[in-house]
Amino acid sequence: MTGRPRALDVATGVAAAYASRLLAEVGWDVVKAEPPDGDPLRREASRWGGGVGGAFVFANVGKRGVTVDTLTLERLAAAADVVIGDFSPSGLQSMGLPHDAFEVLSPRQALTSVSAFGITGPKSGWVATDLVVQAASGLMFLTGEYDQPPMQLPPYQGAITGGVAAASATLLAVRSSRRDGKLHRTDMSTVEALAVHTAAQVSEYVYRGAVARREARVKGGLRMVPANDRFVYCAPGAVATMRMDGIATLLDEPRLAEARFQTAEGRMEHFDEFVGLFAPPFKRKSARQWFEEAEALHLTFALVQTIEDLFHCPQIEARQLLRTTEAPDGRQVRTPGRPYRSIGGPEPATRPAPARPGMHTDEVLAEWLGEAR
Amino acid sequence: LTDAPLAGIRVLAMEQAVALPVGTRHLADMGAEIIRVQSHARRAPGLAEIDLTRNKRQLALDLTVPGASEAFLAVAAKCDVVAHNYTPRVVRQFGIDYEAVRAVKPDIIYVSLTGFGTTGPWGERPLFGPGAEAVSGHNVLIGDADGWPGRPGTIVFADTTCGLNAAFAVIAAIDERDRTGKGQHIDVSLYETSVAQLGPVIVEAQLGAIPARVGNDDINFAIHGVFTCRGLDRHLAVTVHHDQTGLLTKVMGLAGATAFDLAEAVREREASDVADVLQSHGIAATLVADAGDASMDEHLWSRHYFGLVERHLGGMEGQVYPHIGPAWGSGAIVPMEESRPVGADSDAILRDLGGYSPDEVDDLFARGVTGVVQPATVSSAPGAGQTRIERGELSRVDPEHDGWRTAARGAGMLP
Repeated sequence: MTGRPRALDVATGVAAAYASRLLAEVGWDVVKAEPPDGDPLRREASRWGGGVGGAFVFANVGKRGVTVDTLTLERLAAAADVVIGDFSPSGLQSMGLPHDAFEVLSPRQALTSVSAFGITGPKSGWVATDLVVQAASGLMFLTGEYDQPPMQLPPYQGAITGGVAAASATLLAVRSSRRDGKLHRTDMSTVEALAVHTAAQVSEYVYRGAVARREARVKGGLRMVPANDRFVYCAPGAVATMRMDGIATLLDEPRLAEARFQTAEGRMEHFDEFVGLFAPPFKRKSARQWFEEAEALHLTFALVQTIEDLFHCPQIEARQLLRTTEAPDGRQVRTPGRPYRSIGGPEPATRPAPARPGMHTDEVLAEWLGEAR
Repeated sequence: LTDAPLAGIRVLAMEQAVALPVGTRHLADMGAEIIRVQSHARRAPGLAEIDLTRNKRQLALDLTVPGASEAFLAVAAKCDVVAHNYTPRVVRQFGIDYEAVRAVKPDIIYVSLTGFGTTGPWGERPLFGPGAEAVSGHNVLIGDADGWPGRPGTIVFADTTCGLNAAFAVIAAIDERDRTGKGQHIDVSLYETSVAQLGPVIVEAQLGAIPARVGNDDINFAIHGVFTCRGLDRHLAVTVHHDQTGLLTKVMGLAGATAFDLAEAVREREASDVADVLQSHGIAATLVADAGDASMDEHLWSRHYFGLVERHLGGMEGQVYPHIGPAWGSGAIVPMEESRPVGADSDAILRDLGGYSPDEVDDLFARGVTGVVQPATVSSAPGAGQTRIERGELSRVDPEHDGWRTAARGAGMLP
């Protein structure tokens, strides 16, 4: 047996796939089993039109791909340290797995299910898309404009967050298994992983009955201000934390240092006047210029970058966060690598997502099962 | 709990704000001993902070006072993990950077949780979670096409995400250390973990798409959106695949299968009722849950998502309240011990781990190297509810807000 622990990914979709990708990022040998016609995620179209989606390429970096029958899948599972998949009814169906797969598959250490609502409880049969996950988690209720219906976050926030949590839970299960020699089963829900973001709001409700809502425009308008090209993010949190002397200097508008604007209450009271002085100067320069100049004055500003901006960001470039990989059609694309750097730890994964389902079947069967085909 | 997965792992965390405290809370929940280091020269924590400090021990150190860095390193030498979320400049200044800690504990797992990472042109810049959401590209993707950029609800989206990634990194590093005997320096940032959350979008942008704000739309679905229902700020989220439109019209009795038809049909209905009906036919739908809904969600309670913590803070002595579990659920199996006052364990930690004698510890107290802060007072009074509704911070204030008790009893967690 080689030293690298083995994970079998039987997932369709993003959450479980991202969980097993993270294991590949810390040195695991990860094999992705797909139905003969491939993970449906391969065929997903972009939300914005223009081509295929990016989730398959992103979530499956670092894996080899196999297509096998159910019997062989069970044998691969038994040869793996962990199996990760979506064992909800809809997840099993899309993988073509038997209904009792969560009980039947028996890797050596850990079996992790990652699904929207989990596989127990009154909603375990519910189906979901990421919109529904975001809505059920409580996070979406808080996102958007105060006087408008709740607004979705970017795609796959539930799935990716759930994937990080599932990777963690899987490693913890492995640790427990090393201790007691048993197989540990974990039933993860992406709704729950995303709901962790709303801990403070839930606490405020159970203590005080207060139902936090989407942020009012009156405050939101001060967070992001248009510069001459894009938006500046000019407050770390609420306006309450603004340092007005520094801002007056930065914007060359001495009136902003006047007493009535020094406190959050004062700025709210004189809101129109305040915004009238505060917002227009930003039009003089680019967001990037404000970002740099604010730093010199020790003001914690950020800039509102577009996705395109990320490809030209000097920080991303310097730290090589975006790694070149290959899409199934052969195009070279950049994708976020391991989400953190580790000095002295294992090398991050480099293998592109399997271009074709089952392209590594023979070599994996040989290595994992000792079979020649 | 000696059979908890991280039993026997000790973490020294010089932590502030949200991101690292969330990460170490996950580790604490799974059995790690977390020693939270913070200065006693600051005010007592509020509600948000006590929720981040359950299951943690408290060591107070004022690192600006001579002798404090030595005390930090003395304790660090007895730890598996040292973590901080200060800028690189600050930890260098205090003499507790990776090299300094590795000198006293060669296989240390050292975590720097920063805004942009510890290297690169932006490496020394401070950054808060909401700024990380903006700079990483989340904000430009939230909102209506013709509106301004939005932002993820809550002010802790990037923080919570980063904390979760940091917890993964630590768990993986412990695993690695146990196999190889080597520690590592984990360099995790708000910015980069937020960018990673947009992985699919980033790839897509190179495959022909132009990512932009599209409200609640997704052109791959026949219907993909949020619909206002009966009641104050009540909404239904629904996604209907193209091959489900016939089913939708039949189930809902619609004239047509457009979003407009659905909007008219649900306007005067209860969102949760409609969600039940649609789900019973395999159409993905849910009430857009608010904090109150979450607190009494029978599904979450039945899965033991919530745990119970007995509060001992001023104003809440002896009262039991639910608290969310770790991100991988199972809150009910996590022992939840009340947040302890800043510095509450200073004396024991400095003696048992730091190796200081009782006299030396007294001296550290006398010189202000360490100290104790009075416990927090947390009010469960509703506060200025009406004012906060008028200021646009709250939807409503429910005079009765203990519906969670019924759900907790249903789950067998309360008698």
